[in-house]
Amino acid sequence: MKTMFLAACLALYATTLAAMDKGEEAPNFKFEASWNTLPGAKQLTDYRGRIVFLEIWKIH
Amino acid sequence: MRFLPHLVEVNEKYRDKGVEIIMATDVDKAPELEKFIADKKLKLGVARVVDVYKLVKAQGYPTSYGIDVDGNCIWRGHPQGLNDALVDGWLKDLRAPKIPRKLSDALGAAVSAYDNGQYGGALNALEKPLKHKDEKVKADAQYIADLLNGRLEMNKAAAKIYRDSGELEKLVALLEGDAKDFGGIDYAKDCASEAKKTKASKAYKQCVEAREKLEKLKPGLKDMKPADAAKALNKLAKEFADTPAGKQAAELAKEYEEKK
Repeated sequence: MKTMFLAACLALYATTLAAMDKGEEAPNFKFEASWNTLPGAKQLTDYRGRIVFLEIWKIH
Repeated sequence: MRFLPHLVEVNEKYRDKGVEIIMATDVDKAPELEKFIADKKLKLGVARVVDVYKLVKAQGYPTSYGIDVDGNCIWRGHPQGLNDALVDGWLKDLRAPKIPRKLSDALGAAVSAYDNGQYGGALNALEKPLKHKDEKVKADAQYIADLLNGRLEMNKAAAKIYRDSGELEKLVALLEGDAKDFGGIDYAKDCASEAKKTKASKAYKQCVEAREKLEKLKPGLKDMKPADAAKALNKLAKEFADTPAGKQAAELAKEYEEKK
């Protein structure tokens, strides 16, 4: 019961998270693996000085 | 992914102008991604990033963001919303990134040079502060030096990739950019010297000629019979086999051969 309650709270919390919006600093993240990315770049901050179009996606 | 051709188009048009696409996923396994990229012959930047969905607080797939030179979000929406007017607007703010924290006033000259994209000048202005008796000034100077050296090392790594892969036009553009941005230090002189030497080489001239010929050929391909298009592309690929455009022509020729 306690687990279900916690899961419900987490689900509710997840839906109320505000999406990253204009003016907010994008969190840095490291590439676990990458293809065709900027040569030498291993993380998002390596793109400072460039405009980035970041797409969050999945294959299916 | 019906929006994929749209992103490929934007990538081709804007990548050399300072806009980079990163398709980040935390769901797909590396072998699946590799297969997908190979099957689609994808030239877009793709990254596998742990928890990226949560990190950027995405709300469904796909979610897209525009991020400026300082790493701040300037747009959020669906990838179909990406268009030339939007990207052209972003490009108006293409500049050197700002230092993301307040630093000691003693570093005024270095910070000013950095903010103006004069990285060589900034490194020179850091020489004295790096030996300063005040530990705060010294630490702040080291912070800027690390930012600049990180950028320099990344560009050196990129130059090596371009050199090794024969992408000589990209190599020259990078070297000429660094010769300007890092003016005042030996690295800039090395870049200028290599750029000049590369531009004078036969290999570079072939890269330029092949690219120009491919650019001229491309618009008419759709009106040609697949067999004729493949023939024209194969001729170019054979003549300029070692150039990026020659390799691209060979790939395109295969596509037209499949349509025969």
